[in-house]
Amino acid sequence: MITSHTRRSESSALLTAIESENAAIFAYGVVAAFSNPARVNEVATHTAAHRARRDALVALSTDAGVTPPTAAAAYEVPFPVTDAVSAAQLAAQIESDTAVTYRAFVEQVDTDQLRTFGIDGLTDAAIRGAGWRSALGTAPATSAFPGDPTS
Amino acid sequence: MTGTAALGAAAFSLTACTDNGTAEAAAEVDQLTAQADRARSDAAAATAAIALAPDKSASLTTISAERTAHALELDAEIARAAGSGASATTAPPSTSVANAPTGVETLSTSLADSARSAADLARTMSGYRAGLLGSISASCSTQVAVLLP
Repeated sequence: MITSHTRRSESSALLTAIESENAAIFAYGVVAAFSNPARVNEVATHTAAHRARRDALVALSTDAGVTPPTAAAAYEVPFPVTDAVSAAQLAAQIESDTAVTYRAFVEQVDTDQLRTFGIDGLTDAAIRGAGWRSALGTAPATSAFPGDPTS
Repeated sequence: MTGTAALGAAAFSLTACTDNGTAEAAAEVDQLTAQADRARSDAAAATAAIALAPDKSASLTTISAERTAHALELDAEIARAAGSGASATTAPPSTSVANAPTGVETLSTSLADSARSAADLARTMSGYRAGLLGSISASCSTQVAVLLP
């Protein structure tokens, strides 16, 4: 039986994840404007992946009787993006932020379906983030605990 | 040497409590212990694989370090669970350390299995443990996808 407490933490996890995906979609627009033309497909694929997750989250929250937030017109980007390198750094940052969101999501939700969704989201973000860090020459490109805000 | 460190870290024992620890808590300790054993076994296999694939030495060293970090964090979680009254039914970890060099493909298969196993367990848990196991699962999937493509 779902208690009102878990219901609250679950809806807050859904809303936070939607906000996080909306911010990621916006920031990937900035990445697209400055990234290396050779990475145009990668950027498009990653943007589409974030969009698909956002749409799935919106559907999940509607099912749960929670009104999903609409995307803001603009989101703050954590540092200036002026060239292909800072664009790749932003993409790596987007993916670590996304991983943090989904790890917290996994901790807060209370059903198999939502935990599975969270683990998949965390995994995809970790893989994309490692791909960007690898392109940037960061060694190691991976981390032992994706989504851990302290690491 | 990482392999040796992984072996040493396996010397972890649980103090069996009286039978007032719940069966559920004991089962969770057993499941976390199995995850820690898997992590140590993968770490040792990654170190051993360097002999067969010296060109992948950097990736294999990273994998070994990350799986060792997973084992240590799981040990800490097991200690917390044991401290909260779970009685352990486990013997000291009988980690099968791969002495013979493992090929990169075998390691890759094992890491994919580890990712699945950690995710399956994460689904049955909640709070910090679910998040930790989800993170470990994501880490193993990333090792396979990015470090051993």
